[in-house]
Amino acid sequence: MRPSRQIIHVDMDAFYASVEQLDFPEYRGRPVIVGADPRGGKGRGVVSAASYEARKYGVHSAQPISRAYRCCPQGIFVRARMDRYMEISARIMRIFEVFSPRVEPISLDEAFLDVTGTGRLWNDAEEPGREIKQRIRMEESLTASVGIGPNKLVAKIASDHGKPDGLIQVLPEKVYAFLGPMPVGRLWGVGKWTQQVLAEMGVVTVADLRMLSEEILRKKFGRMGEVLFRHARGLDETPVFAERQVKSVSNEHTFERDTNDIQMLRHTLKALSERVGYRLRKENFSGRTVMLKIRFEPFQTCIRHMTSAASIRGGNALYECALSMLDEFDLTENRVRLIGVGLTQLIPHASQQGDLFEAESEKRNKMTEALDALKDRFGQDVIGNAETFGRR
Amino acid sequence: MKFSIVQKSLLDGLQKVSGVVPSKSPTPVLENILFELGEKELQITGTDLEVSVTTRVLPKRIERTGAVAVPARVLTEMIRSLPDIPIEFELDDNNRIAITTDQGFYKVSGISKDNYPEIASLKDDHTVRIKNEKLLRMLTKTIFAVSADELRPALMGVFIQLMGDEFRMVATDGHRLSKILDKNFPPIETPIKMIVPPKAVQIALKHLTEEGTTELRMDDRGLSLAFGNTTLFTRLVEGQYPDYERVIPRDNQKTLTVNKSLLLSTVKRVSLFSSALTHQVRFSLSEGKLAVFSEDADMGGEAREELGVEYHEEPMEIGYNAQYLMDILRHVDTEDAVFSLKSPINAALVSPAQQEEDEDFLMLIMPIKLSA
Repeated sequence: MRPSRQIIHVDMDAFYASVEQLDFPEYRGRPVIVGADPRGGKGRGVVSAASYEARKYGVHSAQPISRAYRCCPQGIFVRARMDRYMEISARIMRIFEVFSPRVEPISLDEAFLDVTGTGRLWNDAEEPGREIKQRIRMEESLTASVGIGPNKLVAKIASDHGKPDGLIQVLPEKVYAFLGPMPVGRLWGVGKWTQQVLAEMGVVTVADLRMLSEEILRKKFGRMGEVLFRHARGLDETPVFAERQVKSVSNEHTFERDTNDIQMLRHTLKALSERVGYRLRKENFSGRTVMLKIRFEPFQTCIRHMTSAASIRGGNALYECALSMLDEFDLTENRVRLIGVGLTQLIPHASQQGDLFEAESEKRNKMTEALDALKDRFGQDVIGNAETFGRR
Repeated sequence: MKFSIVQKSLLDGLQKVSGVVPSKSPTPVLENILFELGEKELQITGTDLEVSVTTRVLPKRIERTGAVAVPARVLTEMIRSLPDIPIEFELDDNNRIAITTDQGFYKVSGISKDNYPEIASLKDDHTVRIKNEKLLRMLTKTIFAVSADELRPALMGVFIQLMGDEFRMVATDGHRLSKILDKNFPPIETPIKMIVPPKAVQIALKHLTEEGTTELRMDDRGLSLAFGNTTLFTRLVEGQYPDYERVIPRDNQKTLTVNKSLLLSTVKRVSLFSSALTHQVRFSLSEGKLAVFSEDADMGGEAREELGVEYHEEPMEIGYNAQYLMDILRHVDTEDAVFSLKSPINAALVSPAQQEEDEDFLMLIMPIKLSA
């Protein structure tokens, strides 16, 4: 049998909100809600993050901002400052790299580390966990929750369980007992629908789920059923991908008022494309499949994809692609509530397929590099296309 | 319209046109095949508005001329499943077609010819003739490199160029390029250039036979190919084909000569272990030796093979997309393939060790830039 792995999951506590409280001492101890502008309860968009003080009022991320406002009108509502979060995130990720060469960032505030085989350096796996927490606190004045387990599933559930500022290690022989009393919703892939179906079958906890045979689960949920069967037993073999697995980069915008003004849509698309382009270059990725997302009122969401033969690394090419897809929508009758653009199936730019006709675009690349340098120093909005300047 | 025809000749005709008939079209009438019965022959036409194919077959007996559009799929399937027996067709006034054989009786609803689109025709056209063998060879050697990039529409076709006594075909998607030219073509006065969509090329490749000649007629908008009883018409791709000569390197001094079949099977095996996303294989060249390897960091696979080659330059490492590389190697017909190289970031020229008479054939492949 293979020796069991040691996986650490680090999850920053209320990351965006905590950064706000760090940068603005007057916010500390008060409910901070990062997200869209609530506009006195009439605002649109969602909550990106809520401080623990705000959570007491029932505010949580992904909630409509209007609901959050009703729950907590006295809260401090602020817009996200992604550049700042990215900056701190990059420093935290660098801390992780000291502990293992195999680090898989999941998002700005979350990562898996595979510390299998680094055991001789430490007395036990709890020690690197403790150390990571301490360094984040010392160097960034932020708290993180850490979960340690024999696989990603258990590590993630453990860090979740200890929040905030927690440290939980689940030894392989304790996995069964640890997961048993958990509500099934804690398992990966168990969303509202699955939870409801399971509840109808009398399954509430992970232990209940173990009562169902693999066959029954497969019949009910297809291939997902097999996964459920394994996860209920704390089994998960997904490796920690050392290579950063960014699969897509996208950006979207919800309009204040639904619109079919084509100029406005194009300007927004241009600005969003620029932002995605900037991130692609920052993270050194390129891709070919462009995604355009449009949500019409009330809630009909359309997603279109287009594949370009040349790899895309900048806002311009992205915009051109997205625009040609936008032009195919009939906007005379329908108003747009949200528009988004992204690039999927990304590959690291380092291993790049050369292009015979690329020379022409090189001049523009030089300019882009100069613009990016400005954005790095002064923020995203310091410079932009004349068309989109002053808009968001 | 009333006639009888033997199964084999009708099926033969249907198969020639059915390749262009769309199975699901926003214009449902295109899912039909047009029958036009004259005094002597039956003309069968299919189109997707971009490409059209018309072929002529000889009925056994013609009683009454006429025309109707017939649902392509059901008709083709039905005729294909019949044995080689005579079939009788009769059209009534409501565009219903009665089909009678020894085996039974079938009825299908057609559409009036008036509702079937007019097939575009050529104006002020030029005509050239080319041996089928040559045409087949040149199309085969280029079509694989045609781009699928909707953002560079001009690359989405085979570029055909006639000037003086040269007949050229070029295709590229920016990652590889294939150029083949016949240097001994009957001279023409006005140079001609056009971009032919791949669908037309594929249909031509399917139905052209090695013997005989094809008549090419063309104007600014379209091209027609006439071979045997069949005529294929296609609209041309609009736009300016890029200046491909500019990207063909002239100063690739390093030569690698390698047994084509050996390299092809090596790349095939090694690429099985490469990343499914990049298909990257790595060439490591040194005196007399080529090592090909791949690794897939995500899945933990790796492979390495070595070949004896003719190479007498400084060692070099180059990355290629294995799929592109294999496509190119498959089109080298000689025992050895010759690579002309410059550096790990420049295009490689690949050509057969000997050119065919009156022919010049070369391919380009761009490397994948290797990370340090």
